[in-house]
Parts: sequence; structure tokens; C-alpha cells
Amino acid sequence: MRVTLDVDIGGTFTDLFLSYDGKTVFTKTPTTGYKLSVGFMQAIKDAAALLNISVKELLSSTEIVRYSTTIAMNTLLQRTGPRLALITTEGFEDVVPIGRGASWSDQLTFREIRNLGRIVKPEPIISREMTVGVKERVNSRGEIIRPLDEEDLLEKLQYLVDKGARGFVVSLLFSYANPTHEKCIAEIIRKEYPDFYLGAMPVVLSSEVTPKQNEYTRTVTTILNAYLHYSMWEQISGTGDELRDSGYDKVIMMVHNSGGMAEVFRTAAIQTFNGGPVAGLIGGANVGKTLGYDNIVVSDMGGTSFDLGLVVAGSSRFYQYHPLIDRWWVDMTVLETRSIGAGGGSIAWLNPVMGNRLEVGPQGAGSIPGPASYNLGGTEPTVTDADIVLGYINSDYYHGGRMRLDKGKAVSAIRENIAGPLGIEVEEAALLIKKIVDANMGDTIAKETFLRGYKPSDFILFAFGGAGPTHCCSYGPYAGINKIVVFPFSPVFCAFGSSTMDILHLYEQSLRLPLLAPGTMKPFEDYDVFNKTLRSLQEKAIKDITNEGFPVESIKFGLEIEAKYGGQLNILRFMSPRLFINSEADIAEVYKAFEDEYCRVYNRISAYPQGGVDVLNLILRATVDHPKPELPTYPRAKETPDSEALKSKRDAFWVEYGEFRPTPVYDARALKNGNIINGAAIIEAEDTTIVLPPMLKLSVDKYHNFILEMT
Amino acid sequence: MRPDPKKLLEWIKPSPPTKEERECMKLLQPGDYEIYTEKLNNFLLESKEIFIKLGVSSMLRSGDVVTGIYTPTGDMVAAWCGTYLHAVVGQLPIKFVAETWLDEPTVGCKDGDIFYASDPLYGGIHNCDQIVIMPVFNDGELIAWTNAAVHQPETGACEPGGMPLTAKTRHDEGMLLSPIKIGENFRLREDLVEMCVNLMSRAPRMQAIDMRARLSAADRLRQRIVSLAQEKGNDFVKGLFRRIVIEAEEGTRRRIKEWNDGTYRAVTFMDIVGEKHKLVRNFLTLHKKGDQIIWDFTGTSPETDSPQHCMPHALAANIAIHLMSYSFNDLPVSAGVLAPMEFIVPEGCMFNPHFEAAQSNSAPSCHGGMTLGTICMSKLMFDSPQRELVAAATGNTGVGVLVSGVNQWGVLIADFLAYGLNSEGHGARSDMDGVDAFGFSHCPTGRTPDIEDIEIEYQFLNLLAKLNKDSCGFGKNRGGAGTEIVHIVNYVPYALYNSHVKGSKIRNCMGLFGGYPPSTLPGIEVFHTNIWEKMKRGDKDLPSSAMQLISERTIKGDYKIDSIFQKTHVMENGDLWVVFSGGGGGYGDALERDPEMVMDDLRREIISHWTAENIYHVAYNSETLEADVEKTEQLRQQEREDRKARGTTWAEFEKEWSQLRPPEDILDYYGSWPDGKKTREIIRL
Repeated sequence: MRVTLDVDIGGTFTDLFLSYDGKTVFTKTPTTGYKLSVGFMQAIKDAAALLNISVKELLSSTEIVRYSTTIAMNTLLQRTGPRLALITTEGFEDVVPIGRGASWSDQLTFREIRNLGRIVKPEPIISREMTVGVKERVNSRGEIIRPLDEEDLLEKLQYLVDKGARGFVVSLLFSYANPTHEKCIAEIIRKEYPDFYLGAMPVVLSSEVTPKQNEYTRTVTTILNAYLHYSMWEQISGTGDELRDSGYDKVIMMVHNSGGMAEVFRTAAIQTFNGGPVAGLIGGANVGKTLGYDNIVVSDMGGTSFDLGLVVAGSSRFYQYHPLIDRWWVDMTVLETRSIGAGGGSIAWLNPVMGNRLEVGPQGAGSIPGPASYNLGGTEPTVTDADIVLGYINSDYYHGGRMRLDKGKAVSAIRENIAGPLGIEVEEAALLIKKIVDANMGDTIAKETFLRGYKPSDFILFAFGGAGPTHCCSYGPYAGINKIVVFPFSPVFCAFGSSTMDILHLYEQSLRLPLLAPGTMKPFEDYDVFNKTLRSLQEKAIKDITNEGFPVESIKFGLEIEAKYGGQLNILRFMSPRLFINSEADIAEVYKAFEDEYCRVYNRISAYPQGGVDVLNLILRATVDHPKPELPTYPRAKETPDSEALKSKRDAFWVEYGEFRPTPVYDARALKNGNIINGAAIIEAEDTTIVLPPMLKLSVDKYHNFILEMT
Repeated sequence: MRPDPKKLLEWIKPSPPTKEERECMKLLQPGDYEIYTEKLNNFLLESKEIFIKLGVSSMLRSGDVVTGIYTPTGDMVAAWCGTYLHAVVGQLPIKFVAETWLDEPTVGCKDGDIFYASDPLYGGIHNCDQIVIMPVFNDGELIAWTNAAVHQPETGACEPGGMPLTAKTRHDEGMLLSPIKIGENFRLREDLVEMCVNLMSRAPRMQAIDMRARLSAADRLRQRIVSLAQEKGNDFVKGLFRRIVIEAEEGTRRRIKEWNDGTYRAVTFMDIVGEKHKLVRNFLTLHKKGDQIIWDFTGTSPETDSPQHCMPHALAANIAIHLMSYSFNDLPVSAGVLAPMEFIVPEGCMFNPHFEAAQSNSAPSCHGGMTLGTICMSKLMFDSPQRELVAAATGNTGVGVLVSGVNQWGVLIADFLAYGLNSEGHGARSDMDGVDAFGFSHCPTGRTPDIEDIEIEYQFLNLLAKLNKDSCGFGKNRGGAGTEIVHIVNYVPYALYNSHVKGSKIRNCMGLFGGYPPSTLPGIEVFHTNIWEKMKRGDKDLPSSAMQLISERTIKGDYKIDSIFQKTHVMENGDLWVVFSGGGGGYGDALERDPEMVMDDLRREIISHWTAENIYHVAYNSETLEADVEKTEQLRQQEREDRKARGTTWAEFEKEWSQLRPPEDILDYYGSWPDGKKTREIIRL
């Protein structure tokens, strides 16, 4: 019997996906922000109840527990971490406050960036007062050109301790090229302030957290890691204790934003950011393999945001190398997902400056007060309100009837704020709200697909999240995609995604080498420098993964290289066809892989090898395959759904008809493999509603997925 | 054939909608306008990302670019900025091509053609700014234009770096391209590319790559508009474009109409003219009446024999930076915003010189003008619903430091050092401080490079790079601080640099409503130093700030404390110099600043103890930095009394003031004193 348990702790809900001896069970419980383990254990209790077994019975037979969490983000937003000090190179103490100039624009929307009158930079996590510069210097070639002044260091340490430092972040210039001074500082701190003094003061070195070029991102990454470490550890160990007390005795794995998972003890706090959406993307790629789809846009429309990711040729291959966490640009490799402010709670408003132009989002109503129809005090109209007015959402069956919506409030909010001022009918205003939000999401899909060198029409769309199935038949076609899949476990898709992850560790190291020399295009010859760096990364990987209990033979290595044409800003990451380089022919192959990727993503016009090609970073991927859950299959039934599947009929508005029409409403749980429904129709599941317009048909496959496509 | 300055100035405004365009606008269904304007924004974002990723020059790397969409007649519909000035002037070469070459049998314009331009006489800012223009055809009909522009830090001029301080006429400024067809069938003509590369032989690689980057961006935008036209039809696209321009104009006029009618004045001075330390004046009288604003620059100093000029359309485009990012930031980046603006720029002044005049320093010549715009618009908006957009001027230093020579990798370069350029201080707001090291006045989102990025690419090591203490304009709300960075020539025997930075004597950035202007920016160079020996020995006394460098002089060498602006000259290995970026202007009376905020400034090392005591008059414990509120109030009350004692009547002040006159030798280019009228003819050879 194989039992796996995956939990995604989001800001609002804790989702659980359980694979239990060939069966799948999923639950959704409220997240308990004050103590995450409470919601976590409740989700497990609910799942056990659905299987009619005890929690102990469930957990003692569980082979693996994996989870993703937003706790690190909460700590950052609330600034509840410890008082830290930053030690840097003298003369460069303002790296974070300067923030590469325009750090005020990081994480702002295009519209916010334009409003120069209101800009504000993010407040540094470590204040200037807690930052000291020490006398030392390493140059860009890793040579020490000014020795570390230990006497000066000791004085400054005392100053920081007197100011209340509870931990130290050390980030010196060029420490990625030569970490000697950083290591020396760590030794001195440990010697001067041993464990018995004020407790053990953690010392976090930038050269160990992210040994990569560029001091701003390296410093910020190191600061975030140090700052979030404690609260993360506190919550995780709390959850671990409860699991163990309830009968679980195996390892706990955490979802990493790199697209893999690793043991909790080998997880740095910043690796957990955005773990949920990344798990969704990985899940999309894996379920795509089962269903036979290579190119997939994975989309998740929730209450406040619309997230998307791309799977190409069966692989979730797109990464961000400098993602933003809160408002901080960090240096780490994360699987790329995009997010815009569009969801069921997005507020519709009229822009008076633009002659009362109707806008939707990016502001959202949140869960409190939420859309006007929640009847919790919200008066502004939202996308969900529009969906109710148009007849798409059943106000008596929201979240399976656990929440009643007030259609009257939705109508009034739209009438007062939109329809009245524009002099149009409420239904017309609701339709406009829906059109605009759907078009924005569709355009975002199209832009992101084009930017990676692909056409949306070559993709299939996976739609999940509470509002995804309700809007996918509109935003998909806006993007140019006409085939869509909705899953029975759509509401907990991210938790499902983590069940399909492999063990993955990434090891990165900056190494500047002229792959081809500028002017002469001569290949570099010092193969040893390249191979030696790679070998040291490989050794680290073997040590980590064998310590997690996996044999060396199970590790698969892959090398990615970051390189750029001489002088160009853009660093392109590509998969190297060679792990080690031992000949000119190897270099030619590596260059060809770079050029092919460059031309695919951009164009041939700008490829300019005459200007030289620089290798900047090496990224070693070490993976261990992990078994994936098998989706249960169901026997084929007839094309026409059983009569009990048809719940009722209600009026819904269809653009194609230009009017409300009585529309059949089906119960998603009663639909079977082989059933076909032609639009217009509405299919209600407990936590979502599929809206099937005319000209589209829905078919149910053997996994009970819903396939939506043009007739 | 060359358009005259009046025509160019008129061209920044949209042309009236044609009857056909009005008909096309009727094709837009409810929701279409909202949906498709967002689609255009996504097109722009996509093309901008392509542009930045493919280019080389530091201005491109820091995002100081534009990609834009224009109507068939060349009116700006929407743009991604970057810098708004490129978006505004991007219209002009398109309008020239549309008017001149479209029906010219030897040139013509067909699908796949690529035009290229850089000459300010044909609508550019200065010849460093190179622009690619592409017509957008669908089904054989010209439905739009796209462009992509960015500053190129080499022009083949008489000095490296594209902005020669010694240029006397346009003939000293290198490549000046009137709009020419440089490619066909969506490809650049390699013979013409080679011509440009050959003219830029100080930085050929940069030219070759950036030309391709511009084309890639403009072409990506073109492809997207074609696909939109194929989906929705040409007429829909034309109707959409015109509606955007009209909505922007109507929105702008509505807002202007809400403001108080009146006349608002401001004056600024700049302290360099070409390669000389001379004084010039910029003067603005802004009239607001109904839904129109008139910008009258009468009273500005006359043209000179330097490159410190700009064309009227370039001045207007620089003013538009404020309009697009403050007053009308919530309207589209469209020509419609400029429709209600009239500009009066007298012929013969430095903003409207003879056509043979050098203009390579066009952008820096506008810094005083940019401050004027901010001050007058802030005064205008003070009593309006837009009070929160009232602000003092940003640094407006335009830290143009251009380096050239062979970099540590043996490659010939000529490029901006972008650190100072993109870390100017932001102006204080009516309700909060300005942002420290916020970006670049011409390109608010400009990014400074990391020190490691600079040192791994260029031929320099940096002794320090930090916020410049006391650089902000003080006030109830202070301006953002600027930065200081010390570059040392490293790895190579020598390097060259020049600096276009103003403000060693007087700043052209001002405070607002009693706020202080930011500090001046000294020029500091040290030659023949022992820096490497001191570092190697681990000497404790290496300076960690520019102030320490010159006050303690622990580094041996020949110190030259002069002006921050410098002609191109050689710096040898181990020689060093300081680059400052200017702080932003302050807002309101410094005596009204919350003492706690003054303490916070001390903790952040934004101000010195001298400033806390003598400008802000705060009483505090200098060790704990705790303010004594009661004693502070006493000190401030005393200072208010002292002010009154120092005060005089207006008549007495005016009598004394009008007797004053700057030294004669700095007034060579000023014009008549004090009103800046033309006093001599410039003969250009």
C-alpha cells in the first residue's frame, strides 16, 4: 500500500491531496495563521475522516509528507524576525539603501511606477545603524588587495553587539570569487561570541548562501535567509512534532521554488517562497505527460491573483534567476510563474481621468470584506459579483453551499458603481467586467508565451483555482488557446503538484570565462578551471543527497550554463550538452547550444559572436527521481450524462445569444468517463464552477478530467 | 526639405483626427477600448524586454529606452518608457519620413523597410540618440509605425563619448543621420551598418549590437500590431489608436481646467557652458488659462559657441518628463497629453539656436529647464486635487561621465559610467521626503550597476560607493540624497574620461516653498597616488568617504580640487576621481522638520551633525541620538527671532540686491545682465 500526503498552506486555505492505496482524497481547510500546525492537522483529520480511518492509522502508513507554505512571506511582511547586523566592505555600507537606484519600482505595477510623486523605497531589513563596513578588499579576479583588519573588525563587532545584534550577515565585495575574508570574519565572531554568550549568534555568509556575482542581490538574498530562518524553523518544527506525535515517523519534505523538494533540514527559508504555484506548475507538467500534452499553459485564477506558468515539450523549463520576494530582488533560481492582480475578488471601478473608463483590478476586495455579494460589508463590485449577475455562479452553492452569497448586493454594487454612472444596464456592466478581466488574463498568457519564443495556439490550457474554470473558456480564447482541461482536484491542484515532485538540489557558482574571445572568437583553453569548479559543486551535491538517504547511483546530474554575448546585458541560461569540457569540440557544442537557445528566444538579428561570448555562472542540477502517484481511472460510460447529473436549469447570459437563456446546470461529481455536454451549460463542483459557453463542448476522460474545446 | 524648428515643435502635438479615423472609432464596441489598450501595453512590455536584453550600452542596460506605437501620420499612441523624452520626439522623424519619403520615388516606404535617424534637426534630442523606425503594413495598407530608441554613448565626435564639450558647431559632433532607409525586407543593410560602425570606431562592437537591438524591439512591436490588425481589421486598429490620443487629450484638458488660472514664474542658473565655467540663466513664465498651459521661456540666456543647446522640441520633450510622471501620470503616454501645451521659445536663445549650432549636450542643457517645469507645475498644483503630486525638483544633474579606452578584457569601449547617472536624489514632496538615490532624472526607473558588475567589465576599481552625506536639499521634507563613488584606474595603464556634470558652483536644482537646494558637487581628482601600496599594506587610514579623502589626504598624490565637469583627459593606473550625483530639492522650512526625522537622518548618515545643529536647530544627545523636543523648540524659536533680526524690508532688499552683479568673467555667455538678452552674434564656421 502506497500512501503519500501533500499539503499546500496558502494565505487563506490549507489544501491537502492524499493518495491512499490507489484512491485520491482532497480537503480544503482554513489556514490558521497563528499556528500553522493547527490547520495542517485539521486537514489531515478531515482526510482521515473521508477514508473512515483514524489519523494515527493514516499517518503511520504514510510514506512521505510534503508541503509548501507561505510562512516566510508572512514573517517578512510583518517584520517579526530578529535584530540582525550586516558586515560589509568599508565604503560600501549603502548597497541595500541605494538598491540599484530604482528599487522603489520593484514589485510595482506599470501604473504605479509612472506615479513618481508617490514612490517609496522598501525599508531595509537591517538598518543603516546596524551596518558596518570593515577594512578589507578583494578585486574582481578574486585577489586579496587589502588584508582584513581584524582589530577594526573587533571594534565594530562590539559596536553591533552593544546595539543589540542577535545575528550577523556577512556580505563582502567579490566574496563569491574569494570567500577567505568572509570565513575569517565568521571564525572571529564564533571565537569572540561562543554559544554561551547571548545564545549562539548565527553568522550567515553570502559566499555560502549564494556564491554569485553582484553584491546587491547576493546581500539581499543572504539577509532574507538569515532573517526568516528562525520563524520558519519554529513553525516547521512545531508541525513536525505534531506529525510525529500522531504516528508519522518518516522524513518531512518541503517544496522548493526551484521545482523540486528536499528534506526540511536542508531547506533555506527563501527556497519556500512561491512554493504553491511552483508545485502547481510541476503538477501540470507531470499530469500533462499522463494525458499526452507537451505544451501547456498552467493557469490558476484565485480570489486576488492570476498565476500562470509554461510547460514546453513536457518540461517546466523556464526559470527566474532574480525573482522578487516582497520588494526584494534576490539571487536564486526559481521556477518561473507570473502573477497579475486579477481574480474573483478584483474590483471593478471607473477611472474618471480617462472619461469613466471601466477598469478591473489590480486592487482586490480580499476575503474580508470580499465581493459585495459576500455581504460582509464590501460595497465595491467585483468579478465574482459580475459572475453572479450573469447567472454563472450559484449564490446558494458557493463553496458547496458552505457560504451563501447575496445576489441583491452584487446587483446594487454594480448598478451604483458602474452601470448607473455609465448609463447602461446592470447585466451589460457585468458582462463588460467579465470581458475586461478575461482579456487581461488572456493577454498576459499571450505576452508571456511570445516572450519565450512560442505561439499560444500551440498550447493547451490547464485551468484551476476557484475562479479558473469559471473564466477559462473566455481567457483561453483571448490568448489564442482553444483547448482547456479542468481537473476534478482543481481546487487543490498545487497540493497535487507537490505529489509529483522529484528530489532536486541546485548548486550555483559564478565563474567568468571567455567561451569565445571578443574579436577573434577563439575558444578558451583553461579547461581545468571550468572542470574544477564543476567537480566541487558535484561533491557538495553528493554529500547533501546521500545525507538525505539516497544512494550516489540514484543521482542524475545536469549542467546549465549562464552566458551572454560580449557586452550584452542579457544573461541567458541554457542546458549544456556537456558536463565537463575537455576539447575545442566540446566548446563548439556548448556554444551551439547557447546560440540555438538565444535565436529561439530572441532572434538571429542580435546574435553577435564576433563580440565574444562570456560564461558567467554554472548551475549543477542534481536530481533523484521520486515515484509519482497514479491517477485513478474510471470505466467508460455513455455519452449522455446520467439524468441525476442534471441538477437544474437557471438563466445565464451568453454573448453568443445576446441574452439570458435557461441553461442546464450539471453536478460535476455525477459526470462520468465518456460523457459529453454541449454548451451552453454550467457544471458545478463543490469549490468551483465550470462555465461552458455555446460552441464549446465538454467531454469527460477516463481520469474524470473535463476537456473543454470548440465544437 | 529639413523641417524648421517651429514645425518640429508643432509636430509633438497630435494632428487633428481625420474623417476616416472618426469613422473607424465607431467600430469600437463597449469594452474594446479598455481591452485593447491593455493589449497594446503588453505589446510594449514585450518589445521593451526584448530591447533591454539584446543591447549593450550602459543606457540600454539601465533601461533608459523607449519603444513606441504611432499612428500612420506619426502621432504617439502609446509608449513604454524608459525615458519619456524619446517617446515624445520619436514622433518627429516618423512625421518627417511620412511627409517626405513616403511618396518620394527614390526612397518610398514598403512593408519591411527600416528607417534610422539621429539628427536633432530632424526631430531628435542629440545625435547620441539613435532611433529605429518601422512602418507597419497590413494587407498593403500603412496602419502604424513603431520605433525603438536609446542613447548611444559614442558618435564619432571630436571627443570620445558622444557628447563632446569642445564642439563648436554640429560639424564637431560625429555622425548625424537625417532619417534614412537603412534596411529592407525586415533586415538591416550590412553596407549601411558597416558605415555606422566605421564612424563609431572608438566603440564599434557597441554600435553593431545596439543597432540590432533597436531593430529587434521595433520589429517585435510591428509583428504584434500586424497580428492585432489581422484579428480585428485595419480600421479597428486605426480607430483604437485615434481614440487613445483623443482620450488622453480630453483627460489632460479636464484636469488643467480644474486648476486655478494664473501666471507662475521660476528661474534657474547653470554654471557650465561647453568646456568653460560660465553662468547662464533659464527662465520660465507659465500661464495657465482655461484648459491650456503656455510655457514661455523668454528671458533665457542666448545661444553660444558651445554644444550646450537644444531645439525647442527637445526642451518640450524634457518638460514632458515631469508631465508624464507627475501631473498626468495616470493618462496614457500619448501625444494627446501635449495637445493643450503651447511653447514660446525665442529664436537665438540656448533652447532655440542657429541650425549649425552644436547640440550634443542637448539633454544636459535642459536640466535647468526641467527644474523650472517642476517648480511652476508644483505651484500650479498646490491648490488643487493633485496636491499630493507637488514636489521639489529631482537632482537634474544628469551625471554624464563618459569613459573610453581599452577595458580590462582588451575591448575598445566608450560608455557612460552608469552608477552616478542612475542614483540622483528625488525631490521632496509636500507630505514626505524625496527618495534617496532614486534613479535618473531623464529616466526615473534607471538602474545603477552593481560595483562587481562595473569592476568585472570595465578598467576600474572603486574605493567607495555610498550615499553622499548632506547632499540633499534640507527642509520640512528633505530631498533624496545623491551618491558618491571613487573610481581608480585598474588593470590597464591608462583610461580616458570626461564629465558633463554641472553644479560645482551653483546647482540648477532648487528647493520648493522654503526648502533648500541640494549641495554643490565638487570635482576631485588625485593623480600619481600610492593607493595600491596602501591597500597592500593594509593601512587603516584609507578614506571611506569623499569628505575624508580630501580633508585627511591620507592617500599620497597630486590633488586637484576643481570642477566636477571635465574635458576628456587621461588618467593613469592608480589615479582616481570622485563622481557625485546630485541630491533632490527640499520642501518647506527646515525648522518645521520633525526632530525625530532629523535623528533618523543622522542614523542613516544622510546628514552630518553640523546640519542637524545648524540647519535644523535640533537639540539632541550626540551619542544616543535622542532628540530633546522641548529644547529644540526653544532653539528654533530663537532662530526665528534671529531671522527677523536679519530681515529687511522688500524695498531695502531690492535696492541692495539690484546693485549686485556676478564677476564679469563668468558672464561671457549670460547675455545682458540681469535679463539675459542677446548681446552678440555667434559666427559659425
